[in-house]
Amino acid sequence: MAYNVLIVDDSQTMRKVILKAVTLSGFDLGDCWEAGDGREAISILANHWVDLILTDLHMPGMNGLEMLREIQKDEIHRQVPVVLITTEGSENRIQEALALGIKGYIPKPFHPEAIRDILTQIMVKADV
Amino acid sequence: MFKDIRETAISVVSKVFETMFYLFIETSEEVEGTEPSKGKPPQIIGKQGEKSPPPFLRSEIGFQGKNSGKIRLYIPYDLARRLTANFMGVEENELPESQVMDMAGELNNMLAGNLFSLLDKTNGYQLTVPITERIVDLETKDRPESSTVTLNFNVDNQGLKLSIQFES
Repeated sequence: MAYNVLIVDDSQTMRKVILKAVTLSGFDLGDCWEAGDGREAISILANHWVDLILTDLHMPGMNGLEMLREIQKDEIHRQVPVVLITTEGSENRIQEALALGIKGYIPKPFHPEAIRDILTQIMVKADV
Repeated sequence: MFKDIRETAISVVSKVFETMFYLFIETSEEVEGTEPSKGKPPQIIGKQGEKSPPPFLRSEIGFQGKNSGKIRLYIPYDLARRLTANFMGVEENELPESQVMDMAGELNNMLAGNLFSLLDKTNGYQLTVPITERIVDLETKDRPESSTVTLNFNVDNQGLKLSIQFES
């Protein structure tokens, strides 16, 4: 079963790198969308079926935490697993993101294997 | 305080380069500063004392938390281009300049994010979006009264500089 993924990061370069890591990890990738901030991501979610969201926290416009709060308001979208890929490492902000329902956290910089391992874990749980 | 910041910054830079680029990076000339840098033009000095030629990219991020200030990454354009190609797994001649600039900003973002998360593990710092410019001269933006930690590194036989300017 192929999974549709939404990658949210204000750096186009980083979005490409994440996509490449996801592809190389062997993850069964269906459609992939990219967004430069939370607002763009919300708009994509409104129009496309997404199985997994990979997002940064620090973004101009709507940041990652603000996006998570918006997603939580929607009954369908709040079921979509969200994984943070971010340089943010402070305990308080990670706790805040966990309270908003993230399923995993990958700190930047990352090895592609870290993406593979966490995606496998999360999508198996989501399928169950 | 500066000694801790310097050591943490060295560790962070090493981690980022080894993890993202599979490159070994080492410090070259180190300058720990409380002295004003006025009148002393900054340089990027490699391991053999060689000076990297222009142009350069300068990426700047503002930070605010226990302290506030600016963190600036100075990287030779050629090196930035090679790192971007390596990072993205493409040939250098396929890269638009915008992608090289974006990568330099993202590199500074990773350095700043990791460094300041370690300096305040509980609350972290607020960081601004990176602003990256192509520059020909390495003019200093450090104010004379500010305290600055400046580190020179050598990677892939070229020099790279990180400057952390504290304003409070």
